[in-house]
Amino acid sequence: MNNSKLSRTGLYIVIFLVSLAVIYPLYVLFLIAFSPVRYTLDARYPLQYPGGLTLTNLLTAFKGFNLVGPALRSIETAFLVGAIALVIGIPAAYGLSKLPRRQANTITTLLFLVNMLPAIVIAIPISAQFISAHLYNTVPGLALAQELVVLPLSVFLLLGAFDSIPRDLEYQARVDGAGLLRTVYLILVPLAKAGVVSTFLLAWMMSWDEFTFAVILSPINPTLPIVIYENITRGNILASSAFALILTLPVVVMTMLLQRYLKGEFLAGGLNG
Amino acid sequence: MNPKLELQQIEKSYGNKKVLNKLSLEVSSGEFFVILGPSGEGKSTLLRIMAGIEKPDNGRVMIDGRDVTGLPPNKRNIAMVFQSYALYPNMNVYDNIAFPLKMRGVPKSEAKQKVLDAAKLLRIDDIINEPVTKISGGQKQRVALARALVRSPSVFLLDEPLSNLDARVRYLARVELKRIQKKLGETFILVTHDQKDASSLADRVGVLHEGRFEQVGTPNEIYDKPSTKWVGQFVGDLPMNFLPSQLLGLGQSDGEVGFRPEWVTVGEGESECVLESVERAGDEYYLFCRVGEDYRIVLKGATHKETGETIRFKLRKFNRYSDSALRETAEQSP
Repeated sequence: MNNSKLSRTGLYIVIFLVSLAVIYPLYVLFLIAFSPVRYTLDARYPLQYPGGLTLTNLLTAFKGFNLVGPALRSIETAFLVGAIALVIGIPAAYGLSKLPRRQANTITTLLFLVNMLPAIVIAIPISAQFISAHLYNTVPGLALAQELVVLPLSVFLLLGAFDSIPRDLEYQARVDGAGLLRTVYLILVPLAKAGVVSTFLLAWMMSWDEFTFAVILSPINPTLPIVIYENITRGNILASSAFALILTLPVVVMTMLLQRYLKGEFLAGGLNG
Repeated sequence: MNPKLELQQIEKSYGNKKVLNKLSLEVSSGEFFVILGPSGEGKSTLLRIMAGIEKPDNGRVMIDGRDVTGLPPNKRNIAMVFQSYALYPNMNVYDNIAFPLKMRGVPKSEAKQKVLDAAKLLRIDDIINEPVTKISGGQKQRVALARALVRSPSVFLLDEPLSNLDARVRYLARVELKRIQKKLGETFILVTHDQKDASSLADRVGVLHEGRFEQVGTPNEIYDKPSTKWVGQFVGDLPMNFLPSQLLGLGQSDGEVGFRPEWVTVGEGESECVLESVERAGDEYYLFCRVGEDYRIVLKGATHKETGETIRFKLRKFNRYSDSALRETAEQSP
């Protein structure tokens, strides 16, 4: 008992240290975004503590650049990517979960082939196609392109979620009179809720900070990451750290909103035991 | 009248392993049929083929005289209780029981009445609003049963519904199950590896072995007149004893004699065996004996002999077998 208490304390210390390492860059970002300019530019090293509080940086950034367009575009794209990942991913993963394990694994591995190619190699031929299909510089076009990278991972995650549901529940639903669609959407998807939500979240985030496809396929209507990149290349550190903050916040908000679905507890106990 | 459920020449293999081999069966309306067999003999596969969860490689499944072989489970009018109970963990007890009605578009008020009736029949009306994750094993089994009973399917299929209950609850559940089946007068098909389930529930038992029914009959027939040596050894608390006929002086030079431990009178008669060990069996004893050098038998009775001593015994009843199949049954006057 004493021992386990000790190892528990140890665990918390490790968690704390790891969290610190993750949070530190965010903290610096906050400092730069909200500190008066001279603290940031005069200091030999970036500040480790708030030297003062100002909103000037943010206001300048908002005034100087049209942020609303890129931000909305990013949000639209991210939601679209998340939605497509589920709409295509759920049937695909369900189908794979019905196959013998070996075949399913082979197919899933093949799906990841696209991820092995550099995005830039794929993006260039796609852009040529998109121009003729009127998808160039559009949100749906960009979302479709990002799906190339997002979908394999989504299918993989959803497959894991479906595989963890006991087969009997599916059979029971069929016996109880549910057809294939209702079995999937009334029984399997609710039971795989944690997996479905985390898949959506991951797809959303992958799209949110996706760069390569965005810069090649939608250069005239850029998304947030592109705008930030352009500012950094112009040496506008203050504005870009303000943008970076804006880029970070929605991810935090999304994660917090969906967090309660990410617990897998409710699955336990429905079967015997 | 057509049989309620009929299997014709069902075959099923997994890879090279033949699980069901030209199996045929007829279950009539209102019958409680128990499929009995050791683990790994394809009992559950057979039930799943009836349900439409698995497809047979060959053969036909008929329900109410209709060929349903190609139909998915939701197009067959069946209810099933799985060994795991398979309660939907995202729903409470009420919604679990109501699910089959909801899937068939039964109006809400009507569904409510049916759910409450089923819950009352199974004495779970007090936990109707509990989440299924919070109830005991016995209650889960009842909820699973209620979900099957809530509509009126042609056939109820039960896959080892009692095996997850501990011995005492299990005994009560058996009584309860029989009560419900009698009350409803519906057709039940239950799969089990437990002979007690079979003997206390079944109108008829089918003993499954090597992909086909080795014997189909009433529990008494199966116990008293096992059609093969294998059935004799599988059914019963202890396996049936088999000895060559001439060893017991029963005439014929070929064939074997089969008898249950309790079919003998110990302490009289011409036959002899050497007592090797004794085990208490209620009021009497199981006497584990050796006949000659090669044969081991078990007798039920009382004796004052010590191990190593010779016991006399007499058969009151026995079956004759040749080539391992039943030839005739005989009773001797006491």
